Amino acid sequence: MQVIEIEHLSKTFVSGFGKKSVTALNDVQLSVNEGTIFGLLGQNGAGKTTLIKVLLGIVFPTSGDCKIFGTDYVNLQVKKRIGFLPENHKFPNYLSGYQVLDFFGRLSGLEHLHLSKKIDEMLELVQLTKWSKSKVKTYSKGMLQRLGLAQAMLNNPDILFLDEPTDGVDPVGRKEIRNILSDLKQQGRTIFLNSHILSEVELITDRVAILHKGKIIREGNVNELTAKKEEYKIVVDVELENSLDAEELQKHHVHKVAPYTYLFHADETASANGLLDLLRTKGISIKEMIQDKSSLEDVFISLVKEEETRK
Amino acid sequence: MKNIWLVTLFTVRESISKKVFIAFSVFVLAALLVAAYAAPMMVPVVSSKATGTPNNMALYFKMGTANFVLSFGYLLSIFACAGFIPSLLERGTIDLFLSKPVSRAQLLAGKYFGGLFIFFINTFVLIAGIWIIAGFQFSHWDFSFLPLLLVSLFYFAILNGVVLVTGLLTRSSGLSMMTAYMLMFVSPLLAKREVVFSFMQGKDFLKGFINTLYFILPKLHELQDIPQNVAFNRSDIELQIILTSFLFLLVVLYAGFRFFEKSDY
Repeated sequence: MQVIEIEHLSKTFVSGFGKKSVTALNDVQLSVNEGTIFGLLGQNGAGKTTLIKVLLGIVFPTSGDCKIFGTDYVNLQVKKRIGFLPENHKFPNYLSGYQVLDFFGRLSGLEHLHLSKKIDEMLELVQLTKWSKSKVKTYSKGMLQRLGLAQAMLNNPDILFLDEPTDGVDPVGRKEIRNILSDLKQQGRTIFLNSHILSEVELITDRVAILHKGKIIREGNVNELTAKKEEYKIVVDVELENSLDAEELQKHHVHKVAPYTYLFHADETASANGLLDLLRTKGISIKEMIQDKSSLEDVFISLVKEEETRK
Repeated sequence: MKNIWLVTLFTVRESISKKVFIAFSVFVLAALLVAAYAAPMMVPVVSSKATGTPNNMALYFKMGTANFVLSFGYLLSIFACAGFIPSLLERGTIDLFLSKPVSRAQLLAGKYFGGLFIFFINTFVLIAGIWIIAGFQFSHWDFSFLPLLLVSLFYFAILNGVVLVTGLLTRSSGLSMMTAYMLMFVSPLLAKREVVFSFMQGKDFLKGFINTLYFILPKLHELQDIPQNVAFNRSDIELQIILTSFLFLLVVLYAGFRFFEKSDY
């Protein structure tokens, strides 16, 4: 089931009495399935935050349509099922962590008795129980981010929108956040994630879309995007240069990347099988063979470059 | 209503943290202490028939003290409220609020009423305190002094509306403050415009402009006279003053709410 549906969505910001206009989103089409982690990637200024804001009714679209749970995106009932962690969020610094959660929990429609229990649970989850009575102004960036995450999860949202959730968080904290998000996914919740830390996104997302200058330039699941279709990595028990002659290596486009590890190019299955047969006849044991992958970062950079050169 | 009340309480909390409203409260309490100390010294004056009727003297005491404190109270309250909207509209704050199941109108109403609420509490303590002090000291329990509470609240409601709209349009607490202070400054000049006109030969366009301003803008100066006129039975209340000021408040608030409803943040 699709929980977010975006059709032909565009947003143009007009400033300076109509003289300057900036197209933040340009004919965006996107859908997100229930119970998945969706990553929206893009450079700074690509339109990622604008897209989330449009979905939440904070920014109004110029044209197009978007729906959450099949209904109007600014519907207040829908907002009860949504959690949001904005980028660079600011909590009132005169409140303690507990008071922040109490206020935003009430604003989300949670009842007092249920709320206090939930706050304790959330503070425990983000490991801020010890600091719950301290004023927010004494919190570090990482603590604020964890408090923000707790705030976003307080109402047991069915969809969680996270804008740069690991910003300013140390590696240990990042791993904890990833674990929390994975647990939420296990519970069937949908997570819409904006990030420019691609290695993070690669680890947890099911699907990603790459946004460039307001346009979706690629969408797909992470494995599809990062797979190099015709490249294979092979790990063997001997050094191939000693067992095969140079001509054979060249024929199969084999080159060494590490001790006992080689990359080979095979544009069709028969070609790959040819090399494997050759290795077997030479008595070489194949320990591992996998389709070679690019990192999400490599894919992202090459797509952006490709898009730039096209223009 | 629940959401408006929540945001109102949140705004009260914000204003307490900024300490300006606390300064107003301290000023009110100090004024009440001084009034309680000074009132017994005025008993012989108030009782003396040579200085007018005792009731009038007690009223002068009450009005004088209250208006003196209120004139600072308005300034302090504007100063405190001017930051509410700009701080709400800061990136990272407004996103959080608008992502919650709260309508924009409720959010803005909560912010507006939060300012009014704190002003009301302070003014209520001031006026009730003075009324009780004067009641015990002069045995003067006349209720004609109490409309001052309503009028001062209305006066501040107008200024708070102006602060709110300026804050929405400019996101600047400084400009919000200046606009409200300017309105307070211009109002007595417009009320005495006939005196100003007597120094102007010709210049009909300018006179027309000043007259238009007078009818468009709220009659803050005249509003301040209403409680005294009621207390001293001086003259009938000009309904036009209240109506045009109320209309101004409605228009300003409507414009502010519409703008907030339609804006991107």
